[in-house]
Amino acid sequence: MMSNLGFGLGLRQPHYTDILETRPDVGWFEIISENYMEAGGQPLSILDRVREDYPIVMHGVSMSIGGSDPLNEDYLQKIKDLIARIEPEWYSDHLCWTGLNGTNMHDLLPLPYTVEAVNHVAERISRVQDFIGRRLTLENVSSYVSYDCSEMAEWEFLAEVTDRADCDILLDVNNVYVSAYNHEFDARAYIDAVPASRVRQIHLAGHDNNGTHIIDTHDHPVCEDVWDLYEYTVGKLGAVPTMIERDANIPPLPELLAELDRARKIEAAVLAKQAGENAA
Amino acid sequence: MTALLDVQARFQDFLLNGGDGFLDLICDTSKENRRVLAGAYYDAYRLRLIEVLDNDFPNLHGLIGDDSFLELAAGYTAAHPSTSENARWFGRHMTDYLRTNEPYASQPVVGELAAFEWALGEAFDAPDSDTLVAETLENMASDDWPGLVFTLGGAVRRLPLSTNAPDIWQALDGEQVPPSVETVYASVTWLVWRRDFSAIYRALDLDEARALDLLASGKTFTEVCEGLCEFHPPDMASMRAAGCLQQWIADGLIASVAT
Repeated sequence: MMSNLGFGLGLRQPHYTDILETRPDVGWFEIISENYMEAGGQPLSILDRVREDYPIVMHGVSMSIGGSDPLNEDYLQKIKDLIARIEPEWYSDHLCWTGLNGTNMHDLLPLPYTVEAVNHVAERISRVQDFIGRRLTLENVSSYVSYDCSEMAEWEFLAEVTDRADCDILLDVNNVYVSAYNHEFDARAYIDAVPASRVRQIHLAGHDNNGTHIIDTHDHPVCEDVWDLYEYTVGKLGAVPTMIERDANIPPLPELLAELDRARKIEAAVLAKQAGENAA
Repeated sequence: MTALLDVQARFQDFLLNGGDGFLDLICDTSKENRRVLAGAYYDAYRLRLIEVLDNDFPNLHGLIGDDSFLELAAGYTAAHPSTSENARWFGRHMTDYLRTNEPYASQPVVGELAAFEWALGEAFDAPDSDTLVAETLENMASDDWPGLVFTLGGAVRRLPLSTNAPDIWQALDGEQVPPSVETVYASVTWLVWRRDFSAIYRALDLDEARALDLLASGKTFTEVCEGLCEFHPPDMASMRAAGCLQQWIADGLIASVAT
């Protein structure tokens, strides 16, 4: 049974003081793992203080689990060390690749959805889980290009990889929406196909719609279409720990808390409606 | 080469160098052609790294202006693709890049200001280390003193600079008009370190800089005193060394002591 921590936020530098002084009504905080590896001084001190009062979830951006370079054991050791220090509820990264030949493009680049890629990624996830000694949670990324060589839909790829590797899913509902818009598939069909028992966490975020395609910028509030898709997702998956992910144009903390409250209300309404239907 | 590796190699080559080699692998949509869609990644790669450099070098940006900073960022990104898991370290070659590439190679103040700004950033979030307290030293046997060796804290940086780059940095950071560039006759060592979660700095006198160099290189307290004889009579050199050590401990620069 996975723990339900309720509703969380990303721990971001502009909110450090507000969080420490006001102890907001948030169930947990998610950190970007790389920001606290090999770090000291104020960032790590603040993380330690936040950790005293809140559960923490670790979220990495550089594992490159789908990359063709060998797994970076030095990086994995740093993840393992941070896990030992922070004792997070879980740790996650992205179902993507981030660079080749030792270069990090600092982007979450999409994989081709092929049997070869399923085999490649599943084997690497298993090795990571063995090394870290804990289950890995992987997030679906948003994408702007699709490959001619893909042999299956993205949701089939996600289900196959996580089944083969026996790992968990961080379902980014905004990313599903963005990729559905960009690649012209039905976002709800994606949600329907996600293996519900593996979804450990949900991300919600904003994006930038250019008309012909959407760029996943995390610099806007969550849009109405994504709220609708979140409502649909809760209807399918039930209560899943959910957070607002804002990485740029970061507003004052109360604005994010208000967005988080909207997520809370949507979940409560969906679950109440389902309870009513079951009782009837 | 596997199909997956081929995809990744051609995608990365497109991101770094542009061209058409990757476009054969991807699809148009009914709304947009593949070149524009791939271009979203090409642009994002550059914009992201410009933002990283701007975050780490805001006063370098202020010193050279918007257009020159964008040009510098483009040149630097092409010369030094990131190899770190954390973009925080992407700018670590900037000082060397400025010192070896025109037009900045012939303007040492630019490289020195970048070095100073980078050192402040490093000091801010360097890994924590122990801080030696005066009581520890006071409790050591007097016979041990000549052979004492010290270790500096991980956040301590020493920068020998030949210009008034720190003064210019300070003015830019305070949104003041920076002073004119001045080149000093003999380089001045600037000390950068962290105290109470803030990165701080000060200029060192020549004798203090020499003493700190010796201490940092693992020399004994006696050898530090001997090094100061270059600046002071022997009896004064020992007193000066002890005074410096007292100040460094008060500043929190020293992590540990060993006999």
